[in-house]
Amino acid sequence: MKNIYRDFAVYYSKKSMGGDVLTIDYRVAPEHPYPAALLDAVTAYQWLLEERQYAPENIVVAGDSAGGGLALALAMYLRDHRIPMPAGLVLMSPWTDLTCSGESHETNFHRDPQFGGTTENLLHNSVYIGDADPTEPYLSPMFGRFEKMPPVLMQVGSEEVLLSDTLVVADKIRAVKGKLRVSVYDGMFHEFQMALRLIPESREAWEEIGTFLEIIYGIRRKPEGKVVKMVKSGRRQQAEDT
Amino acid sequence: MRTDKVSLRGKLMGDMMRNMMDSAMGRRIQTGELRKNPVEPAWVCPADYEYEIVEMEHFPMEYLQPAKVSTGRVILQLHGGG
Repeated sequence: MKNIYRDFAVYYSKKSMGGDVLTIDYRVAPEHPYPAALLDAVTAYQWLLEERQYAPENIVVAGDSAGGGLALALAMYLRDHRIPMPAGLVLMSPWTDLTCSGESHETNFHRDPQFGGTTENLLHNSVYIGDADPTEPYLSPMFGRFEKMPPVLMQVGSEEVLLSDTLVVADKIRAVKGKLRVSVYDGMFHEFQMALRLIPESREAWEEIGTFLEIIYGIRRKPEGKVVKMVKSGRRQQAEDT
Repeated sequence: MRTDKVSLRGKLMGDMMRNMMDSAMGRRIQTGELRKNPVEPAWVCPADYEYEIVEMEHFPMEYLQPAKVSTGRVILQLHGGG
């Protein structure tokens, strides 16, 4: 697992005002095709519920790219198996359609700096499918049902070949009147949130995640009132003097 | 219309990425070859956090907790495949 996910974990903890973060290094293809990753995600979710006794309303599932698709698949699996649902989902540039049928695969073919210009990439040659049908909802959640899903935040870049993966899912969630916020970041590329504080768009995206988490967890911050009188602490006074 | 809303830094980063994909390394990134065994310096856990590795039967999990608070909130993070 890459260090960026450890950095993400720190961001998630800060954005959730001191929440814990469990990042799982689930089994990946080609050694472990579907459904290994999904089963590992379910195992980790149940570990949180049973071993660590987190209340489901205090659990948010977050994922980027393939992990975003996996987060949706996990939520569908939990719903179908009557396991208590998490409070929300945070999806960054989720890959929800392993058949790559979305129209953005064509319209953004020459725009996407990472996956554009070629079909010889990991999107088109997914070994995770194995012997399964790629339109199976646990593999490609875009083809699934979206009833009774928790509130979802989706972020995606406008230049991505995976743009449709977000927009089509968003339409389906809206169709069943699910709670949803979808943000398309202009001119952005796949997983631009990995730039952390380096570019303004990524900072804005993380701010948005923070706001979403505050709402989902029901975190109440002190209302920002009018400053009546500024009291300077000794320490601040000292810092200003030096 | 699109580029107007993009920050200069954001645009620069996209352009750099495009250039990198045109290089010999691009193919290895696009096919996922590079992400299989990432070679990176060891990650340093920031102060005020506790970092624990939990071994499950089939996979490891990394559990990050702020050292001095317990909020009862948790985020389950699923990475993008490597």
